[in-house]
Amino acid sequence: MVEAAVSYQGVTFRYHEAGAAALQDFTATVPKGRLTAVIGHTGSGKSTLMQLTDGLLTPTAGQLEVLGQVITPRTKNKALHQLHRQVGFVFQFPEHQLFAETVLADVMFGPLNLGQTPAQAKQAAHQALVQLGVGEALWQRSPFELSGGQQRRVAIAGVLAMRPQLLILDEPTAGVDPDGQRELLALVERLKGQGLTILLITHQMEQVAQLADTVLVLAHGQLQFSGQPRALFAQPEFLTTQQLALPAAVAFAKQLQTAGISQFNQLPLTLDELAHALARQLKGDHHEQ
Amino acid sequence: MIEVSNLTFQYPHQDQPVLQGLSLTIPTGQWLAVVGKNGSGKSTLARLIAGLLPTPAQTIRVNDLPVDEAHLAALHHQIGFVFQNPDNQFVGATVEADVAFGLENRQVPAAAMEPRIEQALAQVGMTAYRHHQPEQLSGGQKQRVAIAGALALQPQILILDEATSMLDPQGRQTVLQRLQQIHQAQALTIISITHDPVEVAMADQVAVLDQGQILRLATPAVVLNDQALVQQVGLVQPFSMQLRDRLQHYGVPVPKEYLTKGALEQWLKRQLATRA
Ligand SMILES: Nc1ncnc2c1ncn2[C@@H]1O[C@H](COP(=O)(O)OP(=O)(O)OP(=O)(O)O)[C@@H](O)[C@H]1O
Ligand SMILES: Nc1ncnc2c1ncn2[C@@H]1O[C@H](COP(=O)(O)OP(=O)(O)OP(=O)(O)O)[C@@H](O)[C@H]1O
Ligand SMILES: [Mg+2]
Ligand SMILES: [Mg+2]
Repeated sequence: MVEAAVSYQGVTFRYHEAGAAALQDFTATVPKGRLTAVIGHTGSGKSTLMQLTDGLLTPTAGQLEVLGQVITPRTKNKALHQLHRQVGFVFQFPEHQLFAETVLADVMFGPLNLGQTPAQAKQAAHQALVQLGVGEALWQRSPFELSGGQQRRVAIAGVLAMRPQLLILDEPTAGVDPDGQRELLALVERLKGQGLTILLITHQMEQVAQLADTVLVLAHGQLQFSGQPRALFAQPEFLTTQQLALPAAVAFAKQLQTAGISQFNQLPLTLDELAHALARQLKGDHHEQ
Repeated sequence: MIEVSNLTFQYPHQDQPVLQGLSLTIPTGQWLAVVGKNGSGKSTLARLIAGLLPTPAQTIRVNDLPVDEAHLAALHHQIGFVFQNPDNQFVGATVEADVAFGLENRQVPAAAMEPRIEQALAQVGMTAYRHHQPEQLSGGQKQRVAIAGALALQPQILILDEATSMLDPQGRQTVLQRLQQIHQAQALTIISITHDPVEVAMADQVAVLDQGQILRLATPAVVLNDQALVQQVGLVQPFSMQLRDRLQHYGVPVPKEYLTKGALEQWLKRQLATRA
């Protein structure tokens, strides 16, 4: 058993006393050092769950434990300072997270706040900005005078510069151009390789297939599925009920099977697996998969 | 028709223009996808067309109206705009008030408003949220409401700035199908800024924005099959092209032309049949 970085224990959350629960009796664990994808229909409760995980919200009922810190409905804000330092949260809307006068100051804020010297903070910021492909020409610009994709890159850089133990990415590739998306996903994979625990919210099933060790599916604030991507994507009917879809490679492989064009022992999950399997078949290598 | 001629635009206090001598004609009823790297000027161009930034004199005409102060009101009657960040879009205290606001602005008679609001919210699956506050919605819900607001206007020109980037897979598909219907039935002109290969492939034409200019204007098939261009501006190819290239990587001799999913399927069928 892998140690849990986060465990949710019957978490319920309501934004308004009278309103519907955004999360309802939610129980799940997030394994340490792994990438857990959180997916589900529009408004299913993903971002709410992440705000609870970062201690920005406290549960209405139930409790959660994040990196050893227990959060209950009675947990006070000041008890969560340490947690805010350990969890890096890239918001769904980067504009909500940017605030400083310049891009550089914005990215330096986190490291400075953690007690680094200005020189150290600057170095951490430089490194993160370069990693996210934010050119030096933008560093002295106001973050509000950037394009949407540039803003998101800066927001991600600001969080990475803090070197968090738990990284939460809420639809990090939305608005990022294709090259940027590829680089970002490669970076996420590297960070995972370094042992970082990552929570990734995404609507792109290909990202789930490619990166996730575990997937949590939410609907109407409730957990619908917890398991490996391969198990999830073997259930197309279930995905349909969740407003989700198959990754393109899985969908295409299934179509080839249905049309009697090709058979797969095990359905390929990613484009590369699909191409590999097809190439073998095309070269007449029928017995292997 | 939208005519952009020799447009140069620079933001205040910046030392470089974002757009530099850009020209582009968008015929009425065309679906144009605009692609390009982050910061290439896509949103800027869209805002200039809609008169949401100070458009340089005599550079843009929309259905023969010059885009300038004097014609802003008339212009806004024709254009529906969905912003990249829906938060910048909302003015109403509730979802329904927000959708109504644009209609009031266009002096739509009260009796005609209600059915239009209802229909637009239903189209994006947000009927149940009509009394909610826009700020208190999830990201995808905000995007849906923003799209509803633009659809309710029944504009002649619809500008979508990454309008579906946060929708769930089926929600996105529903919205895109709906757009396709309206586009075909009503000769709606669509300008869609997007990084999504599926959306690019749906367009009639693709404009590739790079270094302040339109680097290429052609059909999706031509643009997406141009390897050098795809590399240079970092476009993402549709699934069928990615698979074709990956097959080639594994030593399979594949066709060189643009392939849709259906065409690739047929090709695979023939190849595998001869081997069976
Ligand atoms: N208000 C502003 N003031 C100064 N510069 C700006 C402003 N808004 C955008 N820019 C700059 O203008 C350039 C074009 O921005 P624009 O938002 O049009 O890009 P975009 O193609 O839409 O990018 P993205 O894909 O990231 O949304 C960028 O380099 C950006 O930094
Ligand atoms: N500030 C708020 N006040 C009241 N209700 C809210 C607030 N934020 C979100 N909600 C509601 O809580 C539910 C869950 O929202 P949440 O933002 O967690 O969804 P999500 O899964 O992240 O969706 P999306 O994919 O659209 O971003 C939604 O029904 C939403 O309308
Ligand atoms: Mg969300
Ligand atoms: Mg933009």
